[in-house]
Amino acid sequence: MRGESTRSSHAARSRVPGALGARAVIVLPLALLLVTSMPAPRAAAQGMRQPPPLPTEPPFSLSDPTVVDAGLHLFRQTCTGYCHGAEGRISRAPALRGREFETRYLYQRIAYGFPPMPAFQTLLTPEDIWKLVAYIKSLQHSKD
Amino acid sequence: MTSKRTWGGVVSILLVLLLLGLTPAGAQNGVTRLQNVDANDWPMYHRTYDAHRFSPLGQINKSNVKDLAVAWVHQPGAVVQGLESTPVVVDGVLYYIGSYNRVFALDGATGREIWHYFAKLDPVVNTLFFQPYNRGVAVGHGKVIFGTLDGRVVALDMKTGKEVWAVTVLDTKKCSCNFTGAPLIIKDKVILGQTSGELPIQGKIWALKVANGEKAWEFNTIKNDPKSWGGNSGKFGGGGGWMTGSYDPAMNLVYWGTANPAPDYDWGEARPGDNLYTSSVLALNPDTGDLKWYHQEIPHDDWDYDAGLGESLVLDRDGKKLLVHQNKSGFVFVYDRANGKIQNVWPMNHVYNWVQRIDPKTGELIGRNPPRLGKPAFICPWIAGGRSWNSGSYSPKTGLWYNTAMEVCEEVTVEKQTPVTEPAAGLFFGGDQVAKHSSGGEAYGHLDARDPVTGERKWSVNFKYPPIGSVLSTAGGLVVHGDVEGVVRAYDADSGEELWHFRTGSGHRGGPISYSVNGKQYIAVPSGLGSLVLGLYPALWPEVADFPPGGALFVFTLK
Repeated sequence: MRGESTRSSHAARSRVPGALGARAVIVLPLALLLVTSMPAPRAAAQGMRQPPPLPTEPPFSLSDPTVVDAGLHLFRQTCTGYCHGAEGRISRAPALRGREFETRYLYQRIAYGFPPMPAFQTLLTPEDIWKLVAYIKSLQHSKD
Repeated sequence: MTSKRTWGGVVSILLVLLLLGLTPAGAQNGVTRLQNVDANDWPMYHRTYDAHRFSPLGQINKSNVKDLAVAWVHQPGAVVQGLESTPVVVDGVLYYIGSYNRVFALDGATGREIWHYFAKLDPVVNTLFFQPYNRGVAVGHGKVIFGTLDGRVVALDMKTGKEVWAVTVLDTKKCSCNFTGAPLIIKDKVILGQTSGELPIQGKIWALKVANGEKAWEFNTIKNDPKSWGGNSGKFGGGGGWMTGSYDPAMNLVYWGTANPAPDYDWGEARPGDNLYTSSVLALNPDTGDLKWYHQEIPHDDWDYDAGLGESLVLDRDGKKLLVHQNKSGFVFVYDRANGKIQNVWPMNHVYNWVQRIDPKTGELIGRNPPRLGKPAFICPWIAGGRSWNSGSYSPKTGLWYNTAMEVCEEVTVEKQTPVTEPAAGLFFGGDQVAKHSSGGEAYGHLDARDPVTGERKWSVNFKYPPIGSVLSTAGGLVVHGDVEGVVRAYDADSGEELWHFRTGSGHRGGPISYSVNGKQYIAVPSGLGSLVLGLYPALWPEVADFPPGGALFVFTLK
């Protein structure tokens, strides 16, 4: 009784985000090793909101306290207790405090998401994403 | 076995033909079967229009439930955000939906797949907050209907799984809104509400024609009224109605809860006014979408206590036609369902400080304690609610409502925020929060047996981790419920005594159901931990961060 829907859905599988999401768990350790060469997995997918080009350098110093503070406010607005704990503490998403992240990895993770984490590249400007990167990097020496 | 099944099928077909012949008007559209539900079926999200989530089957009962064993397991193959849905069953076929809008039709006795349909989703889904879960499908008129993560409504042929129609209802690329709740079929229409409570948009409830998906009506949950929404705040007012309503056929009224206003928190003058019709219960004419009555449970909702979730129990008692509805504040509102007049308001939660009390005669909030800009505010219950969107279950046999509660507080930091609508709507919370234990002790949760009208408590079972799964009650005197740690239990509906348990390996967020095929009763239990709400747990219980996600439908029957 397998009908047309069965066949068409198989054909569509590579474009279904779910398939990617389920597999991404397995891919994670590999992705962490390959951060610098990580491709933009879904950026070119059909129907996507037009993504901004990926900047290679932040437009400001990531240790500038005003940038870090702006990042804190953006973090509260967009990363929310539902997803990341307050000030990057533990949640279902990985804790961000007391951890060292490679700068471009952070940028790409925020821009492209990681199911169920949304991709923010079309919701936030590159500058705002860099502010979030600056805030998350500021947490790396937090002990609590 | 084979011949038994065949005979069962023949009998079912004969019964259907009989129904078609006897009641020509509604039955031809499959509508009668939604009003007079066959005891063997579970044909809609809450099983019946009155949202009782009660199965009249009693083959599995208090004395033999200890002999329950797994009949079959089905896995949807996508486990991001777990398995949040409630299956439906008609004529021995079980239909359910998993993450990423994967829909399955299975033989209810064996679990054998009849068809599956995996929605082709726009990649915009990856940019949304509300994804990739779905809570259920609607079945009727020979179709299986569901709302998609990318703002469409899809109707499949019930027999083949082939697409009959698919229509785009929401501009998801722009609004970042979508459909995650189960639709409700009433007569020739299918009704469903959209997500929008945390978005700077105007949330609506939609009715489409079941025949072709054409829009029949829409109800804007943001009232166009400057007294209710100061300045241009209504433009960004949020609301919507993302869960499933209930229906009284005699009154021809559909009852639908509406979500919270955006921003969730008010830094002061963010949205002056009472913000109608957010955090309210609406009584709508399902044919036209006309508003018969409403009651705003949380005027100017300052806490995201969202009345969009949960069942609206249709209940008759002592000659009174009642409606029982709970929002996230943990208070239960009892109405005269003809006119919305308050009959009682009672607290399901023991720990709360967001109000001092609610007047049980008028529903007025007395002694409000809203978080405001400045010092973080300690608020109980937390944003996840005194209860989340999971449903309780009402047994007409015991007269009790079996319902869960979360006794958890939070610290809210309110922040002024500018709504972002270009190029797409961004989240509009107006603050953030972190879970806290109550001042009196550890946070916890409980499953209660209560009188739904008075709130009187018959029994309680406590849980370390507040439960977020829906409840099933049956004529066999059983209450079935799964916890966050991955254990599903059957309780004695009269005493709360645990009679049976089974470890499914991942926590419970969906809705257990019961149905019968060829004279054999089954209990289907979706297992698979996920949910936005769960992200709030590790602040209090770090170990929850490592609780395994999953997605599997366990179906039990007697050995």
